[in-house]
Amino acid sequence: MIDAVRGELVKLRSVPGPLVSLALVPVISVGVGALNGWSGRQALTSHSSLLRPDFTAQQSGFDGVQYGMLALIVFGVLAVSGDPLGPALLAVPRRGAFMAAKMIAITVAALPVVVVSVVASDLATQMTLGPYGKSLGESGVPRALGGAVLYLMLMCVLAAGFTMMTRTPLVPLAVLLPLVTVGSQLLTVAAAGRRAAELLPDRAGARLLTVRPEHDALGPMLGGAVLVAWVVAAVAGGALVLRRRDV
Amino acid sequence: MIEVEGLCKRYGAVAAVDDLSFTAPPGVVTGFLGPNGAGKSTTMRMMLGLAAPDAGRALVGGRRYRELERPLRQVGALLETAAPHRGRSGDAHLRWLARSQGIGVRRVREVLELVGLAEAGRRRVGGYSQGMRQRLGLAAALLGDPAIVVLDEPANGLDPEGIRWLRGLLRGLASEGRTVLVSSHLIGEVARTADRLVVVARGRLVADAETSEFTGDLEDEFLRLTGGMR
Repeated sequence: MIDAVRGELVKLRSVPGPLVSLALVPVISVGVGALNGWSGRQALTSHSSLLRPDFTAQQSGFDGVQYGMLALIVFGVLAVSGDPLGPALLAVPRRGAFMAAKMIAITVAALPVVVVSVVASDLATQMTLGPYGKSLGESGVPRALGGAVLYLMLMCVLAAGFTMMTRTPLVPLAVLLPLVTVGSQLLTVAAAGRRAAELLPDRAGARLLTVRPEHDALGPMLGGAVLVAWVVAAVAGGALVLRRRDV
Repeated sequence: MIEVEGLCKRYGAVAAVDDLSFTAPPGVVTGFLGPNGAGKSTTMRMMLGLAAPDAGRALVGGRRYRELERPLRQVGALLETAAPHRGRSGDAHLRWLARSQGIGVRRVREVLELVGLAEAGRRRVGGYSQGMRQRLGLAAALLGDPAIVVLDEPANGLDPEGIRWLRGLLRGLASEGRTVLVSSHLIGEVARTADRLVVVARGRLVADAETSEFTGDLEDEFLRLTGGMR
């Protein structure tokens, strides 16, 4: 099994798609994080009415990484769709073992990048907020940092599992990217859609990175549990499709 | 040793492989002959765990391929469906294969040199000629120093020199006691290399004998055997 994971890691390193998308995660996270802090500082200095009423320096440090997550989702998709099944299954013929090795390798490759991105993005925001910036040690922030890492990792594995079901990158990209950027936000506009949207993977998972959980929404634990359920479903679905697939 | 026992595979109404049984013993080259669409590749894919048979079984070294631990150390295969990612270098393709089987990366250089790709190893597979891709596939098949070798149309894309080299390679592998199963739709080429011939048509076995038992013109014989099913 360790050998299979090692093989998967060499695969991830030796084609440009997954490599480039993973490298973009910290770039986007820190870039957007810095921009976010800078614009927050301008708004606070000028007492602009454009600033969100619920703005807090602590929470705004998690905005950047949610854009970096887009690149991470692309990584999860390409890590699966860009790997031809023929040679993969000759090397690791037990489908369950192959699926497990792939998911572990994706996690091992992405985790350090995600940890660095989450922390660096928050730091960038707090630094560019200047006098309004807060320490990462503020109450609720360390928990939210851990939650952000978990959230991003789960979304990445979700994307990978989903792609194993479809085998083409188009469907998971066309579903997940719009969902994460606008889809579930749009749903919350209508009151009826709100409760349902709470259960979508990104909205539920985003509870993990809230510094101060809202009372009317799912808490971090429950939100995380909902996202985990999505991930389990996607990975199980991917494994099932793989088991039945002739190559 | 490869044992195929009552193997069946249907795609819709078509029986791609229909109750096929034969064995490929160690120490000889077994040619697997048949016209296009006779079910050779499908049989090999089932042998290698890539496709699930509807009935029957195929054993490699006495076991099902899907049960093998580090399978490339026991069975090496060249198959079109198992072609490498075109964006990866030949070298990297062999390296991940080696890693996944616990094979030292030194072996990667060895097989690249063995197939004459020492220079091209660093280049992307997408830029390879068909012959080079075929040589890379052979390198992958030999990577784990396997006792059983399954090759689907290995001569495709090779130039005359390459074909002569391949013939020597196959004979050498068999003389070392390995089981060598080689499919082809080119009778003349296989007849020069194989000790035994297994002939299929429309998924069914039509002949299984020593190459020397085929008397007279092999091409006529082949067409008679495979055409008789139509």
